[in-house]
Amino acid sequence: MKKVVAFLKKSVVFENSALVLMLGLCPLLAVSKSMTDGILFGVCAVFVLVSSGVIISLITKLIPDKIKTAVCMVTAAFFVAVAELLLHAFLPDVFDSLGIYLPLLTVSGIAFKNAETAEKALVGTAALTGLATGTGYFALLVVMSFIRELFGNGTLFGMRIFSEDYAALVLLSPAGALLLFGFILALFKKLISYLKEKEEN
Amino acid sequence: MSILSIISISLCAIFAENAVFSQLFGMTLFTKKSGSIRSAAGTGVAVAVSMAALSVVSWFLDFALISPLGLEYLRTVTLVLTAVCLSGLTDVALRKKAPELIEKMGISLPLVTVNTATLGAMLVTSVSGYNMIEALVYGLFSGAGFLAAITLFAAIRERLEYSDIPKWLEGLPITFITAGLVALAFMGFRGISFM
Repeated sequence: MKKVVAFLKKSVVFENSALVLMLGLCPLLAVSKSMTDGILFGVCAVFVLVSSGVIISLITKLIPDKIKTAVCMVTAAFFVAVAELLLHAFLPDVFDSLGIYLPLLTVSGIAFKNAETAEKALVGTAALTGLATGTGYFALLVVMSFIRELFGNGTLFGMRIFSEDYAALVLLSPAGALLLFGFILALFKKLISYLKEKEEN
Repeated sequence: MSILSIISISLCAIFAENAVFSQLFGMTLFTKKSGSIRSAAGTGVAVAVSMAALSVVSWFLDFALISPLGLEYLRTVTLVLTAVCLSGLTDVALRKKAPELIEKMGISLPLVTVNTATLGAMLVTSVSGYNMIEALVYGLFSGAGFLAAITLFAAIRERLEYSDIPKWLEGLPITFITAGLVALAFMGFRGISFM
């Protein structure tokens, strides 16, 4: 149990794929405009990471070394296509507003990094790694989309919290996403150094 | 198709819909490689060339394969597979014919040329209904936009190293905040309606 907690802590906080390794930034910054989009994109990301990790760790012995990159990316693309079709069928509005950013998850580095770890791991570990990586990414998506939707538009899940006149519209633009990410990164660095100090003592 | 539409596509691709600052394509690569002008220019050229080439390939795939056969649901898989295979083949060819070029750039080609910037350009040309010339122009100027963005930003970062930054913002946070400010400036090209 302790091992699992330490593992989760490491991959969710200390090696957070977006905040520490700078992976998967393009879709993260682009889709976090509203809570609904952010959360559903996060769910898709977890689904893609877990299932592609499991498949790759199962077939890793069958793949020649030279085409490993291609196989990893195509596996991720396959599960992204599954997620796309499901969204298209059941939540067409979200599918439209995610647009081309859902397919971009395939090549955004986060899936590739996950596949590289999964190659060397057993199926269970691969699934757990995918879950932990995805959770870290998901948490960041929720935080970013909460701030951006609430303060940029004055709504949450489309419900109005305060008047549009007081909203900082810039938060909804790409520029706002970059600025916000910069400040979140600064706070996160503080948090990491605090946690490390606490662990050492 | 008129000359006017070509001009409008090219201006739109390079300024109003700049790959980095308004579409956020290739952010990971953009952050990692913009440390010095040299590495930024190398990466920028590699990405720009592959964006131009792959946009045309993507138009061709859509024209010859995806649209006539009704394979829209396989678009992602097809485009990713094509991009990975083509850049892998280019890597092999370059290593055979011009090993010193690869050495000079110091990069692994498939990892640099298959990213959110190239796949983004491919997806845009694939779904936008451009014809071949328009796809080529879009790819070329979108790539030029990426190259310009990453090189200019590397110059800013080199100057940032000598400036006095609050301690808690040092390193990556200030990089993103600067990128945000540059993106704010790029918003000027689209007018006020960025929504």
